[in-house]
Amino acid sequence: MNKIKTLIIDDESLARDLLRHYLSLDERIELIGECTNGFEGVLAIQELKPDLVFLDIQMPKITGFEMLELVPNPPVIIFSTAFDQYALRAFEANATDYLLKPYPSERVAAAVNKAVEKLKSKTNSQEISRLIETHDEESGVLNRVVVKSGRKIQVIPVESIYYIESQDDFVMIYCSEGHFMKQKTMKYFEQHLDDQQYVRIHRSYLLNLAYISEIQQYEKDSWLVLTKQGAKLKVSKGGYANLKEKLKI
Amino acid sequence: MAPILTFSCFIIKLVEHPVTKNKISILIYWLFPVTIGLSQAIYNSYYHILPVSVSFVDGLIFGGVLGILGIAVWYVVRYNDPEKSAPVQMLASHVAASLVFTAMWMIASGILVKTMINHLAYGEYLNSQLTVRIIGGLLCYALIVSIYYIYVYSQHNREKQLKEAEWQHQIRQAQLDALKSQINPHFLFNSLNSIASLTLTDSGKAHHMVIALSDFMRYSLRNHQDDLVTLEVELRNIGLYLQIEKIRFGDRLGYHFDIGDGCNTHLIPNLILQPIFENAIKYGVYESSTPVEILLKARKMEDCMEIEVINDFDPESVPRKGEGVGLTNINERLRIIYGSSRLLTAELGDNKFTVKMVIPDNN
Repeated sequence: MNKIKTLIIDDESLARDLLRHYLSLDERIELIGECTNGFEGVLAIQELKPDLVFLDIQMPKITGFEMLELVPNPPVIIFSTAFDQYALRAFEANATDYLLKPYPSERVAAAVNKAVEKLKSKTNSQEISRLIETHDEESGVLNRVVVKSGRKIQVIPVESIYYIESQDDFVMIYCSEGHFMKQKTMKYFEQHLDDQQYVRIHRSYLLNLAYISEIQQYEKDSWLVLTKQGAKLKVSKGGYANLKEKLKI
Repeated sequence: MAPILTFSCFIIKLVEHPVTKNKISILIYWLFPVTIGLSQAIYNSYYHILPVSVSFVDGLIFGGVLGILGIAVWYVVRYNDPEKSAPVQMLASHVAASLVFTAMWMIASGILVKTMINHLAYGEYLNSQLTVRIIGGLLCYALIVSIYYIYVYSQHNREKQLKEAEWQHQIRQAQLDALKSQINPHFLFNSLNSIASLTLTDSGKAHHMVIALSDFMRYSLRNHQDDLVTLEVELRNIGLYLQIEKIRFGDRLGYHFDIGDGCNTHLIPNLILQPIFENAIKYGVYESSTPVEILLKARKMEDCMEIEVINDFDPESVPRKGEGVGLTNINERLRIIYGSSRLLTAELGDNKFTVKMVIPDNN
C-alpha cells in the first residue's frame, strides 16, 4: 500500500518536533516536508504535492485559512490550534476534525484515520471551501487581503486597494502593489470591507473612496469615475446613488 | 352591563393595573364586591326586609358599582406612591378620594336602582340605610386602598430583589472577565504544548518550563487590580514570561532590562507591564523573520518614574487585526488609580515601537 505523503506546516519548532515524533510511530505516514509559515506552505503544496497536510491555524505573516485561500486544489488537511474561538466555531459548524494543542498521539491516530477516509472521497475541495466561507462569516471587517501572483505571495493592507473588478467567480484587485486575481466573489468583499470607505459603484466595480479624483457624467443615467491613478470606471445609476450617499453630495 | 365591564377591563389593561393583569386576578377581585352585594341581598331577602327580586337588584347594583369604582381607586394609589409622596399629601389625597368615591357610589347606584326598582317601600328603605351605606362606602374604600398598597409594596420588593440579583450577576461577570483577561490562552496552551514536546527531547528544560509557567500563572491570578508592587517584583514576573517565550522563539527573541537608580523599589500597579510585552511579542517577535530585541528602560524622575518599552518590528508586516484592547486597558487602569489619562503614550518609529509609561510617586 502506498504511504500517505504528509507535510507539516507549523511555525513553532517544538510543536513540529512533537508531531514529527507522533507521525514516526504511524506506518501509514511518509513525512515529505516541514514548513515554518504559510508562504513556504503554499509553495511546498504546489511542488511536493502532499496527500495530507497538518496545518496550524495561528501562524505569523498569514494564517492557515489565508494560506488555503491561495491553494486551488487543496490536499486533505488536518487543522490544529492552541486557541482560536473563530476557527473552532467554523470547525464545529462544518463537522471538521481538528486537533487542540497539546494533543496526545491517540488523537493524531484518530485524525489520520478520518483523513484516510477523506482521501478516498472526492468532496475534499468543496468541504474546505465551505469551511473557509464559514470562517469568513465569523471574521468581520478585513484589514488585509492575501494574494498570489505566480510564486510570489503578497499581503495587501486594504488601504492600498484602489478598486476591485469582478470577473464571474473571482475578482481582480487593483492596488499600489499591482493587480492580482483572487478567488473570492465581489459579494465577499462588499460584506467584509468597511462600507463607508468602499462603495459598489457598478455591478463590476467596488471603489475605495480615498482614490476618487473626479466624477463625470457622460449619458443620462451613467457616469464615470476617474481615479487618482488615471483609471476610468463606469458608474451605474444605482452606483451613483450609493456614491452620493457615501460622499454626502 | 357585561359588555361595559369587559370593555372597561380592556381599556384598563392597556394601562398596567393589578386587577386586570390576568383572568385570575379579575375573578378574585370581583369576588369582593359581588360578595358584599350578594350578602346584603341575601340578608334583606332572608329577613323579609325587601322582596327577593328587589333585594337582589339592590345588592347587585350597589355591589357592581362598588366594583367598578374600586378599579378606578387604583389610580389614586398609583398617584400616591409611598416611595415618592409625602405622608401628609397621601393622607389628604385619600381622605378626599374616599369622599368622592363614596359620593359617586351612592349617587350612581341610587340613579340606577331608581330606574330598575319600582317598589313602594324601597325608597324609604334606601333613606334609612343612608348613614350605614355611607360608612360602609368609606370602609370599603379603606379596604380597597389597603389591598392595593400591599400589592404596591410587594411589587417594590420584587423589583429590589431583581435589581439585587442583577447587580450580583454583573459583579461576578466582571470578576470573571478580569480573571480571564489575565490568562492569555494562546500563551498558556502553546507553552503547554512546548512542554509536552520538551519531555521527549530535553526533560531538564521541560522541568524548568513547568515551574516557570506555574510561577507565572500564580502571579497572574492575583486579581486585585489596584495592588501595587515594586518594579523589581513586577520585572521578576515579566522575566518569567520572557523566559517561557524564549523557549518558544529561541534566538528570535532577545530582551534587556536597563534599570536606573531608585527604580527597583518604586511602586507600580501589578501586571501593568504584561500587555505591553505581550504586544511586543505578538506584533514584533512573532511577525518578524529576523531576531527582535525588547528593551525596557526605567528612570527615576523628580516625582515619578518613567518606563519605556522599545521593540523592533518588521515594517513590511501587516498584522492581523487584533483585539487591541491591551494598551487601552492599561490607560484606563492608570486613569482609575492615578487620575490621569495621559500617563501612557505609544509611538511607531521606522522599525521601532515605543511605549512610554509615567508612574507617579506613591504618596
